[in-house]
Amino acid sequence: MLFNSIEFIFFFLPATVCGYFVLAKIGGARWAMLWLTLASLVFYSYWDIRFLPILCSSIVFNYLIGLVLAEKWHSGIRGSAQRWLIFGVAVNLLILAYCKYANLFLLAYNDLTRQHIEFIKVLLPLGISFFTFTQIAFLVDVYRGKAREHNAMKYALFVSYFPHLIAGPILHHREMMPQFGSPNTLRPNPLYLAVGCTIFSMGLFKKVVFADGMAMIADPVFAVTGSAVSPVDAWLGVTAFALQIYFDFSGYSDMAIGLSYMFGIRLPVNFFSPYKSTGIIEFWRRWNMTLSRFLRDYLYIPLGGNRKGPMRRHINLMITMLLGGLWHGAGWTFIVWGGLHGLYLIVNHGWRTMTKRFFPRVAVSRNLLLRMAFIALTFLCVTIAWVFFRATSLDSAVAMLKAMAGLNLHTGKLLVWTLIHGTQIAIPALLLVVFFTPNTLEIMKKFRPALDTDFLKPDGRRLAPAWKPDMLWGGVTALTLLIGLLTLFATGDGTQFLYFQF
Amino acid sequence: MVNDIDGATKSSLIRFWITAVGVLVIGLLAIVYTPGQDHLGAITLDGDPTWYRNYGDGIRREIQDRDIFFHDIGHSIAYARQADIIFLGHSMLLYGLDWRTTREFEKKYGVKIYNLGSAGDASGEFLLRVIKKHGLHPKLWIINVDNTGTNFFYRSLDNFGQFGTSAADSVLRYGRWHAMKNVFSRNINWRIEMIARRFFPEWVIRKIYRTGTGMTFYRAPADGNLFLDKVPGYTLKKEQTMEVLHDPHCPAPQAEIEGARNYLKEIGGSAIFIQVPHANECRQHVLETAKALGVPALVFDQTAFTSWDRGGHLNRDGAQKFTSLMLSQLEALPEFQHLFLPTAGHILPEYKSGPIAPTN
Repeated sequence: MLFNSIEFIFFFLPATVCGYFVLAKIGGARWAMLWLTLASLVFYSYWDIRFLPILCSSIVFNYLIGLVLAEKWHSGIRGSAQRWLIFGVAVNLLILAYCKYANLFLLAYNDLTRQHIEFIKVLLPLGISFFTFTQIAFLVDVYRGKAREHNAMKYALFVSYFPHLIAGPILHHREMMPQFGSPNTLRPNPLYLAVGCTIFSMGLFKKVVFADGMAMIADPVFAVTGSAVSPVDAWLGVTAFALQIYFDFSGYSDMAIGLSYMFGIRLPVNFFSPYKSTGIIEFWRRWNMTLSRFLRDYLYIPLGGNRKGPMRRHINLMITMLLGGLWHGAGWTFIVWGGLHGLYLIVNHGWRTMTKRFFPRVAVSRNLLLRMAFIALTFLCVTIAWVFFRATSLDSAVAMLKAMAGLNLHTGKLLVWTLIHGTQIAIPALLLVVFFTPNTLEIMKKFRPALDTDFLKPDGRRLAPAWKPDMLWGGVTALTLLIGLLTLFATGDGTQFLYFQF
Repeated sequence: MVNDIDGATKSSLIRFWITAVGVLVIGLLAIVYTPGQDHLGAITLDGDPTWYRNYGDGIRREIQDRDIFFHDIGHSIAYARQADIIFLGHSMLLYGLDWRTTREFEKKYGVKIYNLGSAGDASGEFLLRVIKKHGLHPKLWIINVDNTGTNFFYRSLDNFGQFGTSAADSVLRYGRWHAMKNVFSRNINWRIEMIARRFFPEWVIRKIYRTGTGMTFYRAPADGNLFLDKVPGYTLKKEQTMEVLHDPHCPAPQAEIEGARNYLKEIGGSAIFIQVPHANECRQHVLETAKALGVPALVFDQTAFTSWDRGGHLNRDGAQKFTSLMLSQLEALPEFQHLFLPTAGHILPEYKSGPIAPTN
């Protein structure tokens, strides 16, 4: 079931919210949590009932390993705990590798050995990367003595909680468990519902109007071979995709936060205007923030982080980003995309070191023009990297980059510029939205609907409209939802979020 | 009620919720609802709810027929169940049957006629599935036995053209909820298009809805007839007499005759074959099939009729002429007279067998 589907909005969501609060009133926290867990499993199995046993087995397995680890840790048996942790993490990664990467390995093996072993027909459960990473983080935290869970139902809810299940955010046990079943989440709060509905409406609007609208420009460009694309179309198509994935992920993140907040449960921030970043380091602190946190805490730092000198830091960064790219998809294009970002990060760290040493004034400058130049350069780098992310093969990515470089000046045919009307207005308009308007959390900052929003301090320079429960915002929320729903109705079944495939 | 955050008083929240719910409900109703509509979101014909919009090609060619008939959306199937006579065929039948004339005929004999034609379905297989699913049992079937694309009695789900999300084979696979969403989605699309056409100049509309002709037609749930007067060219008086483009020597193969026999067996009841005139028609085929099965057939000389699309489908004049001629021959058939006893004092015309040339 998609957040942007008629079934979800008109049936699943109202039934789940009402059932949750009714059961909380009648039976208390346990019944409410049981309801939410069952609703989440229904939500998940709606796509394909065959996914359900995989998710349930994963939850049971990790819960049991978590119990064993906690027991070993409290008994002080570190060596045995470590073996159990390795076993637990290895099983999780093997299942993920089999479901997601088996055919990539076969492809690589076939290429290397020039054999033709047939691909395996693997059932790839939706969101497997997200719930696997969430549970690996849990196991590591239990091993480190930072987490412990005896309540099986609460653990099942933590993993399967529908607002985050399919495309994140990747949750930390310690930030979610205290919220599940807490007294202030068991009564319907009209303020939480109002804030949640508003954020959900904004997310729906971003997804169905902005993201799906940009897809109409990007898809035809990426559907033709690079040599047939003119430079203008190549840039338009790639920029449109940069905007599509931006609003797609932003819309999804808003909807997840809004949905969860209706229950009074705060999810971690996962997306915070990443294209306003002045560098790639900052970009990764704003884009898929919980994945960045996971990769930092459970991969980059265990690899040594920046503790073993600059060269080792660069190697660690590159390994982290290559694996981060691979996490996004089983294909060479994703690995190259990750590698490119690894390279960007290394250059960015180098630049920081250099400016601190040789141009200290530049390093601390708040000059507006300089900031704008950095933002533009970051956006350009990210957009170029998106070519690999979106292209179906390395060849077509290279062809697209050639087109962008103007090498198809004479062979490329005009496509988007002339055929897709509104392109001329839509792309610049959405770029203005991206760079010059406040994001949802800034508008909602007074009510702190997400976790870890301490960085959202009042900013006198920005004229962000502040949300408050009044008639004006009631009307704005309704109109946003209305336009979103009408677009949804008009386009039929909702299109999937891009991050669902990961 | 927990209102522990500044600015969120009980009264401000009440104002928020009343405004939000009010605007949403009023907005949705204003765009989706029309009094008397046949199904959710149905667009009426200039405010007349006895017709619903059935076709649009602004962004994609889409037609409601298959979803509505197979998944029983709205009241169409309920009306079809009450029908004494059901017409079967594809778009040529839909264009060829003039609703004004059939309604007069219904009054004259006190019978109920239903036009179950399904545009795009070359074979009658899809309609057979509809008939079986909903248990339609009229006293008389009138079948447009056409051979264009594929023979009507072939057991396939051939389309003349794919109509967006509702190609025949896919309609059979998905459920009623999916069909309802499809129907609703088309209605909303068309409503947005109609609003856009009302408020924006033509050059803007051409940029947005550039792929289609803007052709619209409406269907009556009560008798299945089509209102085609808004189709450009359909009502033009300009004579477009049809030519004969098909070799008139076109015998019916035995396999097709057997296919027809099985089809009739499956639908049950009495049947009469017709052929709506068009440039590629094959009368010999119809007559041979009918003769082999002992079924009456009404066929006509196509050159006496006019078309709006160069011989594919009849225009309004052609449809009126065909319908009136076909019904006048129908009422003369003994099979018809046997099934529908004439009202007192009504004189029935004499039946003549064989191909009947229309009177000009």
